Amino acid sequence: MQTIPDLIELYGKDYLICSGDLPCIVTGRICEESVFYGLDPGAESTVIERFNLISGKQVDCNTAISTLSGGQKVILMTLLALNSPAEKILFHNLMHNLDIAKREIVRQLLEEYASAKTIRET
Amino acid sequence: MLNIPAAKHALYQGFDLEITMELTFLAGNRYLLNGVNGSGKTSFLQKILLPLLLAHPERQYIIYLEQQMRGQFLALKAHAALHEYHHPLVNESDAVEYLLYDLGHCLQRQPRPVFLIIDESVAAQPIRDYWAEHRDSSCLLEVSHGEDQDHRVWKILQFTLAKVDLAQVKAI
Repeated sequence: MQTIPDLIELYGKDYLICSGDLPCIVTGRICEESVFYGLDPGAESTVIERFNLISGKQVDCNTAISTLSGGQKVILMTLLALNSPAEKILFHNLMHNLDIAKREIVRQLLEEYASAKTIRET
Repeated sequence: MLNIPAAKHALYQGFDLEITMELTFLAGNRYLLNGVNGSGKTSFLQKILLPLLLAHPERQYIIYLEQQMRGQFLALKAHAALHEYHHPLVNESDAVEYLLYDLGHCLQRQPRPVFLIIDESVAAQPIRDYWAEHRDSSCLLEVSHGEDQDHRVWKILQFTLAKVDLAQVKAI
């Protein structure tokens, strides 16, 4: 079983590493989480709009991350990463906490961004 | 081991969870909490089930693997180091082994039933194995999306948005 430090050691120089085992870094608001991904306000709006469409929730940038379920945190992490300036992204254990329908949606998201970014999964 | 009466629980602002019938959890059984993301499975565990169990800690031992157990792993790593456990905990699987090792010591000192709770943990197999070997004295609850489980041997609690029903009961 690879740990997050293992992944950082192996891929950290080149990749933004996003683990489904630790999808959100802060315990505060969505806007604070987006700071870590270097999102501009336009990209943050895109993330929130798409998150609401996928999850059926109605969040905004001030929504507390603690109100999201585990699977919703994974979806948020995925959207933040894909809309970040990172050109190479490594997703680790991305699908484990997602139900079948959400896995398909996330799979489509990865395909949508595949031409613009290098996306790798472990 | 535990009864949870039918009731409506206000868990968060704008999110209530209704338990439509009394839920009874018994040693020897395993229960699958099934439902889509955001339907309240983890909230049920954290806001309803665990507080009821922890209100009477003398009645049972509890092993609870969190959904995203990185923080739990670090706490267990510190606990193991303080208790001079013979292996360093490197990953979540090591942490689960340590929990079972510690449970064994606790059971030697004071036998009690064991409540095993797995919330989609990737390192859960040793807990399932423990239940299979000690089912007379243990009860297993597992949150899962269900596609990789053999449903014939589970009692299934079906979560839909804001509601939980005992959807299926099948004998083991």
